Amino acid sequence: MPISRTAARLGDGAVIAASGRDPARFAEVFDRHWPRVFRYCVSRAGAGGEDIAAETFRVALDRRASFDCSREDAGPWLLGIATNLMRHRHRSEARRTHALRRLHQDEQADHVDDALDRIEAEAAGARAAEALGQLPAVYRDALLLHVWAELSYGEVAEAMQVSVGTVRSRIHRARTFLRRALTEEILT
Amino acid sequence: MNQDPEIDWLLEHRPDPAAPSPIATELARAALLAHGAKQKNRRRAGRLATGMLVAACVAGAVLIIRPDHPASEHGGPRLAIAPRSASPSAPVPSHRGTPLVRLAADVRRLRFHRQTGNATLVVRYTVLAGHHSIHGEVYGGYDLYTDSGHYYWAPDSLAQLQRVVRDGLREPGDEARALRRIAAAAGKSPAQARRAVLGDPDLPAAAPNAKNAPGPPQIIDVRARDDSVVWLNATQALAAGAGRPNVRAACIKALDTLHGVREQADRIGKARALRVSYPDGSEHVAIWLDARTGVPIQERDGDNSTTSYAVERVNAHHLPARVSIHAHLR
Repeated sequence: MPISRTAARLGDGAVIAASGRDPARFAEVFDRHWPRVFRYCVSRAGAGGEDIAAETFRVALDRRASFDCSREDAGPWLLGIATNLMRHRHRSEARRTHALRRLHQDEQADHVDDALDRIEAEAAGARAAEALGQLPAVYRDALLLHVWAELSYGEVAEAMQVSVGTVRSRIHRARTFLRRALTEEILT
Repeated sequence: MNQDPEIDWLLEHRPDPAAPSPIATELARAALLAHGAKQKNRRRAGRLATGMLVAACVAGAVLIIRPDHPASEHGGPRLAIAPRSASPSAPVPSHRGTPLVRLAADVRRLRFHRQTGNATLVVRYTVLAGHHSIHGEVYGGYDLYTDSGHYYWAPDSLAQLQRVVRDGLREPGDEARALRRIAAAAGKSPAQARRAVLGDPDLPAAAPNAKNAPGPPQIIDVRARDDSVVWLNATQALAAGAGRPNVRAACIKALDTLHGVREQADRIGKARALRVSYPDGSEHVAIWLDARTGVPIQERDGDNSTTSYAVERVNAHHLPARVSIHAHLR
């Protein structure tokens, strides 16, 4: 009787350890996590998320030595890299936008300054993004990793490289703000 | 139906992107493999270059050791270390001002906490009420912050924490960096301490003494949001930096910038305390700080939870079997 592929499957940590000597082994990590990382990135960043998802795996390959190979699931780690890439890329875009506005003295410019906020507005509806966009980025990232990417508190902590207690606090505060912001206009 | 309306709302608004197309998948996979192959080639070339560099350095080192650089007592070359420039003593804030500013000044004069042990143990006892118990998970626990910047956590017991330390299962995190940044603001103004505690480059700044900036209406009050982040970060850093006077001093100064913050002399058990309360939106939160050391004693998060802190200096590899709830680094 053939051994089932699931039973014989190595954990992500073992595969990433093996990819230390043979980077091609990292393709296995890609095959396991690409759909999830892709969906998360496109959810948050629209069409541009496709590039960010691909970039996530290249960055992960470069940083694989930093992965704790005792862990079975590399998903939170990858989603953390994706979150940082989104933040970094859109911060750069926001700086460019600010510079252009200064050049043109465009006082009527869209007040949603953060480019990621704008893209999330297109993806999730303007109202949702307006409320989300005004949360501190670390609160928003924690909340969306938990609710949209369905990570547990412990996994969000792993993704964001902070303690579980910090994640709890960030999510709790984000929810409080969101609830307060939405109470009058959305929920009642 | 989820009992948390904001979560329901978020889930309703979660975009539902299509699965990645086979073409997108193949392109991303091929790019990854090409990147890996390039990396392998670079590494091979790098090894060759490193070998040559090491050889060159060894040859160079032989040439550099000269008679005017006397050998150390072990026979090796003595390294010349530049003398550390004497840093001017940081200005101590005026002893006038609000109770928080005065406490920060007092705390900065304390230096004795680091004389024993190599880590600060913070034990949190949290009593929860209502549905904010966060999925019934443990809230509180045993935190250990080593002087070398590592953070360990265990939910249930000191024995469990000791195992975590022994196994080297430290928490990943940016706490150490944040604490360093905050500590560096100990001698600065409350506004500068606030910026250090806020510490989020993504957050559009709101002036500490301003209402919302002019412009389109904000759904979220920016000033209230920043104040809330300062409160959260400062109270967490007060616990994490319980063994570090400079961290506490900066956090206490940052709390002084909050809109609506109030201080009141109080007592927790036998300890003299400064009760610092703040209207965080619809919730009233408060923290009790030791009136002499600024070490957190108790915290109340609205009506949801009350956390008591016990703080002790310890040796990370020989944790005590138990800690008194009244331990506050006195």
